[in-house]
Amino acid sequence: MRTPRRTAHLTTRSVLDYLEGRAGAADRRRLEEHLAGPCPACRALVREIGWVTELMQTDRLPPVPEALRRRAIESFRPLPAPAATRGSGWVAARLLFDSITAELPASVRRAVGEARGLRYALGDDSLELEVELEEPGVLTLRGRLEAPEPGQYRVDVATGAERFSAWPDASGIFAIERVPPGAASVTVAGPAERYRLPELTL
Amino acid sequence: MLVRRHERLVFAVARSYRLSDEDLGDVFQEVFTALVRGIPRLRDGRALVRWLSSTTERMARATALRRRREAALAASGERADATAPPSADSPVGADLELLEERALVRLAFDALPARCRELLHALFYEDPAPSYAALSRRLRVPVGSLGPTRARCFERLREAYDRLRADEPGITAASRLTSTDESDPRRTRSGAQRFGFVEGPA
Repeated sequence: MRTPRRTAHLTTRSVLDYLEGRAGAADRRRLEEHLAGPCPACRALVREIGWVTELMQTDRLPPVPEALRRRAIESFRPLPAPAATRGSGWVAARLLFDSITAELPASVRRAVGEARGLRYALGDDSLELEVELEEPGVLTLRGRLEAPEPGQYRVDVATGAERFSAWPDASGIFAIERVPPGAASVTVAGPAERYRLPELTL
Repeated sequence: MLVRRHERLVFAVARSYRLSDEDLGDVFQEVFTALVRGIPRLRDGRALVRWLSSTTERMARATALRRRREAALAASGERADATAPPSADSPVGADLELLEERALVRLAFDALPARCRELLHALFYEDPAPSYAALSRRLRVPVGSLGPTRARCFERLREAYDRLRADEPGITAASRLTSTDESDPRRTRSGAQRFGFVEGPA
């Protein structure tokens, strides 16, 4: 292991080695001598690392039964469609921009990078989406909702059997992680209107 | 997504009331239904974890008490007072604060890259943890790289955990560790106490 010098501050690695009993006798003695000195930062580091490792090592819950998970997922079934009165049904959002199909100058393409950018009109408001491949088969959706009170909206994404929900913050920003690729249905529900995006393949 | 991220916490709290599978399923569904319909403004951090644990506890406790009254009624053959307050023999329940901290670590863990999750899961969530030699074979990496990689991944985990905990203003990780460890008798001994590095008069 990397050996902390007598006067050197502790590192995450040296503390983990110490707590796991992987440190040799000399390293252990040096670390204990350092902790005995006037270094509250290193004592705090040991406390915090010890706390987190203990939380993990005592987290021994059996797997959640599939039957319970199904019961929970049932909660996410969409509510029955409301009566088709004006203002209460789904309104189709309009695609304004898709970086995959748009003809972009090379400089803009470089700025956009690998992520796919989309922009929709939601009535007078708008939604920007960025789809980024985190690793094979795993996407992250980042978005910004431009609406008067974005915190009152909910964004739902359904891909295959999975459903994801996100609530934009006060500035309209939200993110949905670990989304599988494929055909996705995206809806944005606000206090007055609910919008459905055109079918989207992620 | 939301179910998978939080099902362990709901399960941990609910099962501590020793409910039947059917009642456990009902509690599970009620909690997530309430989550979907009632709290669109809560973010995925401490506030949401707190809401989930306390809501689950309330629902599980109410179910457990109802079952006890029904059992007592059936056993005595007399009319039970359904409005009687919980007796000293009321359901025990869980250490919510500890379960919430474990849930926050899990949320931080879920946000790590796949390689880090694989390594830290083996070292801290598996029981017993594999030897470095076995882990080296499993992950197909040299034994010598495990220590440094583990430390880097653990630092990322701690950073993410601290961000999630910071939902609660005014309470830092360090001060929270010290105050709760010393004042909350329900708290199990922390890693810091276990290894004898708690500062102060204790």
